[in-house]
Amino acid sequence: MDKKDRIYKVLTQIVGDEKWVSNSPVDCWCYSYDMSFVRPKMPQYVVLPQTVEEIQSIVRLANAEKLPIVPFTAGTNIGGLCIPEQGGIIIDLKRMNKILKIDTESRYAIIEPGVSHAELAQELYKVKARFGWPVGPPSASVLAAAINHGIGGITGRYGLNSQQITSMEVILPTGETARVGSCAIRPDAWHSLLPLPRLDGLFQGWLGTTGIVTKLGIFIPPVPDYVHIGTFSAQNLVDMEKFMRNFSKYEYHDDFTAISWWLSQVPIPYPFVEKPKGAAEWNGYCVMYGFTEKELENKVDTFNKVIASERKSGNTIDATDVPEESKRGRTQLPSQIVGSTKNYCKMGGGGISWPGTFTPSNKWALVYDQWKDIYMNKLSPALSPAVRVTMYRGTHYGMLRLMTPFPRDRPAEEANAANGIVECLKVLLDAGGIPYKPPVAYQREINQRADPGYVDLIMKVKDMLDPNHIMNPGKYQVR
Amino acid sequence: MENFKDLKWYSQFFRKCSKCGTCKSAYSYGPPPTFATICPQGEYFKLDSYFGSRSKSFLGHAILENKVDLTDPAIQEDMQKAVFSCTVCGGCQSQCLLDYKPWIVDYIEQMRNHLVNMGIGPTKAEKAYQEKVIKDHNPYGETHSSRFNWLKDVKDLKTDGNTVYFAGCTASYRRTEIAKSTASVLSKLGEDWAVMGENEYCCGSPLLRAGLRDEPQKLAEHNVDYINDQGFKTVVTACAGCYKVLSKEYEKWWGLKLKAKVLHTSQYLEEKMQKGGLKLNKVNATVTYHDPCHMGRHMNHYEVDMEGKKQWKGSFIQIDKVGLYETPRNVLKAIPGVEFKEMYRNRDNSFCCGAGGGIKSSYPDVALETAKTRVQEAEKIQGVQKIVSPCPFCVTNLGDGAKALGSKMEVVDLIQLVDQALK
Ligand SMILES: Cc1cc2nc3c(=O)[nH]c(=O)nc-3n(C[C@H](O)[C@H](O)[C@H](O)COP(=O)(O)OP(=O)(O)OC[C@H]3O[C@@H](n4cnc5c(N)ncnc54)[C@H](O)[C@@H]3O)c2cc1C
Ligand code: SF4
Ligand code: SF4
Repeated sequence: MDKKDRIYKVLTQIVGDEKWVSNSPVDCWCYSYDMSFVRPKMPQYVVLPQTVEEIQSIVRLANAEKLPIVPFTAGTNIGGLCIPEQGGIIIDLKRMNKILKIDTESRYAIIEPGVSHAELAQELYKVKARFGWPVGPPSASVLAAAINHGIGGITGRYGLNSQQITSMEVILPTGETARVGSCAIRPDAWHSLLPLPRLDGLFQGWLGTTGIVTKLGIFIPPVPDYVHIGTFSAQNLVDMEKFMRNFSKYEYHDDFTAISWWLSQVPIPYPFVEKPKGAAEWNGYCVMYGFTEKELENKVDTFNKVIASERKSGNTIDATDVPEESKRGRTQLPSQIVGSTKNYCKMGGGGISWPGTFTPSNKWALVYDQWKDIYMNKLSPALSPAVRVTMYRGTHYGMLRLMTPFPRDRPAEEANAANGIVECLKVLLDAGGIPYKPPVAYQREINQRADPGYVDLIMKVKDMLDPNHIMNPGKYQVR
Repeated sequence: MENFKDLKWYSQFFRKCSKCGTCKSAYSYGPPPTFATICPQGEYFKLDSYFGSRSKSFLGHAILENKVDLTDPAIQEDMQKAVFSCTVCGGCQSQCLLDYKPWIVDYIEQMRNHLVNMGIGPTKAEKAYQEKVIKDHNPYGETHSSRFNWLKDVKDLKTDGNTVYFAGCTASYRRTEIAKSTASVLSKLGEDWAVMGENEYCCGSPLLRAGLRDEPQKLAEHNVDYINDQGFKTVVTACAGCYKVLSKEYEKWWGLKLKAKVLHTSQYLEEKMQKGGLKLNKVNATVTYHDPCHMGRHMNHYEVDMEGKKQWKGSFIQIDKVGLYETPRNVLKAIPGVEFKEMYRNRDNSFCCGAGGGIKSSYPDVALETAKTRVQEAEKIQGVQKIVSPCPFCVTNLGDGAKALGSKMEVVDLIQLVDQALK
């Protein structure tokens, strides 16, 4: 029996049924690319385990055979992160889709990797709890977003989705299970990572290269009764950022976001179109919640006062009146329209990539101007500078992201977009921003600029946890 | 008339699939937010190569650009399974919001046709029923002459008149009680109705769904010629599959125009109701309703800007006409004594019965598991004793599902309930 058949057979024995394993190129092709510009690469196997023990056996097999393994939940990360750089086994975790616990008193839930935003949103709504729903696909995994520093509708108030993690169970790249947070001390205590050492950091933001998270505890705050969505516009990002920085110091916002004119179009115009004269270049919204009417009133009052005082000082910021329906879209998350990429790709034609970044807000305008120059003047065809900025909790930095659609069936245009994105990434890195969920092409740029001690530490951690370098190899471009 | 387009033509749309995965499950914000499984094929196989229209865009890309070696018999077999084990229910289509949306169902069938032309389809089971249809004009392997055995007890049968009842193969051979109920309802309502007798051939749906083209065309031509020659004003059918083919596809694919208006029995009954001609007696039952895909979302009409006048070339604008969702419900709700409770998944988000797309013969396990899931959904609704559906094929498969579960759930055709109410 050749190696391919032997491994197939062992995988089948592990998961108990041929149905849950494939080494067919037909199936593997469907895991070879995603919506991003990252080129396709084929895995040799796909396996669908349902238990921790099954995953452990797969990991042990992969170590014995020196085969790469790539955890996969829905593959919607927009960074080619599940594309197997060096082939190997895709571990598709969608059969592990149980919501194990929703504890409304201790305000946490325990979920498996395959639980989707849509499913959890349905269940949490029933108990008036919520989570940081991204504007991503409803079918994508809550766990995968959280462990990769996902951003959601409550990031302004509570922090990134990774900051909502309360405990986790992980299968290490060598096959042992480990728990971090309170559940490590008592199996039924999933309420907190602290005050223990932050070992969760070994598995957050690592893009599936340090272990497979099999259970995740997450904080699920209650839904307040009162909500107000303040909307505003400004002629330029300097003004917009100044207003956002000044209001965000109060930490009154759950979501505080502004988008360039091109991103406010549904869908993003492809290729570039001129903004109509007179239209504000930036529009924003601020979602504020209150548990009491008074609390909300105070927030709204402060919001209006900050706008007024900014205007007095010559800022072009102004409150706007937008239709209720488009306001609702800001809180009605997960969103099918955004998640389905309708507002991003419908015109562009199937491909989407971005530099999505964490960047100090006082650098936003500087980077945006350079991005505009690249997209509008240096590419052919020119592309829309469809940019979003969002203040995170802590108010001093936030998301700066450039959504870039492109047509999948026109390779030259796809290359044009990919080239523009990487050029923009370089500008961003040089200004001090850091991309999240970075494709390999970004990782090379990051490493070139990184402190050698940082790269060395990454290698040491990888060597310690993953001595055979089997976990999603290539993603960090160091091993 | 649209004519069949080759697979390459569809690539302008399926290459616009962003791989977002929205088609893998049904979701609506609400409030309350609702989530539901929608893809019978994906739910059964779980691999992403089987899930939703996302998988089909991957597969079409692989086929057209030789990303997999389709000369290898093992790969041919895998490709056949991935493409032919889909129920072509269109559940995925209802979720997608990109320009691929309007084309999804037609495209999946075109993939099948492409594979048929490459010798990678149809499946063994489909090949077998194809031969039966050619020989005896039905896919069940029964003789053509026995097609009308159900009519033996029907008195005063005519072959001309105002309205012709197109029974279809399933009602004629396997669910004769549905055919008899339809006949009985037409008679009770004083309709001047007729049958095609031995001139009724399979509508062609099972062959079209399998990716075949020439054989269904012959059947279509035969049926259209006969109905037109006889001068019928109305064709009534109680089968969702026949309804789709007769009312939409004959003209769409082959430009074959029926002079008669085509009505599903539920439309016929609703028309009667609106004119005050439907007096229904009490039937005590708590029921739910299963939407047949072919009558529901398959009959949605999509506005597409092919010329680029409103948006851009090929952009999907909107669904400007929805399928038959309310009509059968209106009829059902009009029966006194019937307590109607909606399934959790309904209308555009209905879960397929599992029988479509040739699956019942080619992948019976997928068909049965899907039916069981649907029956279990009905079982969860308090007090519901019957699933009502206006399609003999759905009724058959859901009935098989109920039987396999040992469920007390009864599965009946809408026309049977109406027949009962007309007594
Ligand atoms: C239109 C659109 C908008 C988006 N908006 C947002 C947004 O607002 N905020 C946001 O955060 N994201 C956003 N995303 C990105 C993405 O949808 C989310 O991050 C999503 O939750 C990822 O889930 P997935 O199931 O697709 O993960 P995958 O793509 O399958 O996996 C992501 C990464 O996690 C790893 N991984 C998966 N499971 C495990 C596991 N169990 N253990 C260890 N590693 C694992 C994978 O190897 C991969 O590296 C958006 C995406 C799209 C398409
Ligand atoms: S078919 Fe539509 S919904 Fe499905 S992945 Fe493609 S674009 Fe998304
Ligand atoms: S048509 Fe139905 S079975 Fe086929 S992929 Fe779409 S949802 Fe799944």
